[in-house]
Amino acid sequence: MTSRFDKKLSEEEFTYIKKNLSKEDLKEFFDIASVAGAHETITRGIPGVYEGTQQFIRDIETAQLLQQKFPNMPYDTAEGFKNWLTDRLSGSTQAGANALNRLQGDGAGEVDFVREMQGSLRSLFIKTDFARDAGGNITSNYPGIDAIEINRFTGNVLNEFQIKTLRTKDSINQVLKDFTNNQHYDENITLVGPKELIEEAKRQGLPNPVKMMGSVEDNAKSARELKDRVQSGQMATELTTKEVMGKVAGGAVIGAAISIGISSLFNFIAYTKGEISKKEMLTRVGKDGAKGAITGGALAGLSLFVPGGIIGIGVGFVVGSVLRRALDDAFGDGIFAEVLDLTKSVQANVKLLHDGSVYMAELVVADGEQIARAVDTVEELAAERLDTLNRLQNLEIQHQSGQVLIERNQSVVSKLDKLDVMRARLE
Amino acid sequence: MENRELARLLDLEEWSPNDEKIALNLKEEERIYLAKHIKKYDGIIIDLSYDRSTTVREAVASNINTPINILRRLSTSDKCKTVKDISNSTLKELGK
Repeated sequence: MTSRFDKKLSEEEFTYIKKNLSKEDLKEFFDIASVAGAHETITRGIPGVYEGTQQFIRDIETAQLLQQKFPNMPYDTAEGFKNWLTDRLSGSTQAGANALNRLQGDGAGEVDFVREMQGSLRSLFIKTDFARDAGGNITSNYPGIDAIEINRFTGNVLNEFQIKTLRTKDSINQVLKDFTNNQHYDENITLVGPKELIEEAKRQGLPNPVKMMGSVEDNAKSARELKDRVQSGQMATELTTKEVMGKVAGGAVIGAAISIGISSLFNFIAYTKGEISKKEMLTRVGKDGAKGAITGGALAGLSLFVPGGIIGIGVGFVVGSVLRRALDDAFGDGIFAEVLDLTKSVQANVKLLHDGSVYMAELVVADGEQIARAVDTVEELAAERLDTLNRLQNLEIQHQSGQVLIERNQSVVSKLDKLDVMRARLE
Repeated sequence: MENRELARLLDLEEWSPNDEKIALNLKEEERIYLAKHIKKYDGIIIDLSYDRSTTVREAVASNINTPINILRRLSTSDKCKTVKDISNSTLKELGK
């Protein structure tokens, strides 16, 4: 007789999975498990690891954005950046103020906005990017807008944004005047700015949609901190070498590897059977993922998979050994590869960089079979197994009582939008 | 970019961040002209003193309105010998 903690599931359990899930359901499960796990990890953070990586990467992205916008300036090395800022701050008041404006307004403020947008669940379907010219370059003088939102699948532009990251209240009226008195002004452009600016824009009856981002004081603080890091020579502008920079373009920074385990699958089944609400399922699956997240040194050398929709969010995925075996036994050996193909996943091989402070993943586009062979599996915890078996028993009892409620009449985007709103309220 | 815009920048007393963007997006020959003739704003002279174009930096080095500390930096640490030489000449001309 097999014990409850054996690595194998029982015959009944396989039958249960096979009977209740189609391949499409499995695809949906992996999509949901990855997004919910990523969301939980990103919004709650993993102390001491993820935040540090985020700060470091924010600096690099800021330096790179400034370098792209001002290609003749020396923002590609910490020393060049430091010398430039030191010279500007030792000059006239205007020279110093405009330099800080460039750091925060043209650099960090826009990076923060795009990162914030990319951190939302909507980013599974909608991509936020800096405005680019016809040649695909980010320029400092792109007319009227700083960022755009596009549908990842159709490529249609959904929104255009102009981002204002002023550091003092004195300039609010001038900023609003400059925004509207511009030959490229359009009432549909979303004005993004600190709460003081947005409140004044509403008070003046500006017809544009608006999005609030921080406060004037937040911007001033960010500019001060950036100034200090640049002047101390601590501003990260690249990941060690030019060679590594090349990898950034074809890779992704990884803050954590999230484990998708059997427990999440049973939570998903419970949801499809109406035993738990969508919200509860997402919460449970998210927490399962974050609980089993791998961070720090343990990341190095791992082979992960990243579903196509969420490349760039900063997390990759491994699967639990019990889940993987259960899927293989229930559907046949190639099922995991098929799911990887269906979710348009890529392989992500994690490497340790910059003295261990950053984990980069080289992204490899390959077919599901190759990725399935490469992706690491992890052992699910005994506690998770017990929890899963308990839930399975409950499911069976409730299923037999005929309680089936499947809520699938909403689009995925609208579901995710609601979750984002919910998250914003909670925060 | 019309020359009219370049003329406006050369006369400008109060430079906004946007004026700086316009200046830094000028074509190389226009940046050279600006670097050679700008008198009223040190911020853009500092930026042009870091320009990737040696010719732009030579123009900054030849401008007597370039701040002394910038001329000194160019004269000692610029990677181009011509820029160093021109900066030294300008410093001499200014009696520094």
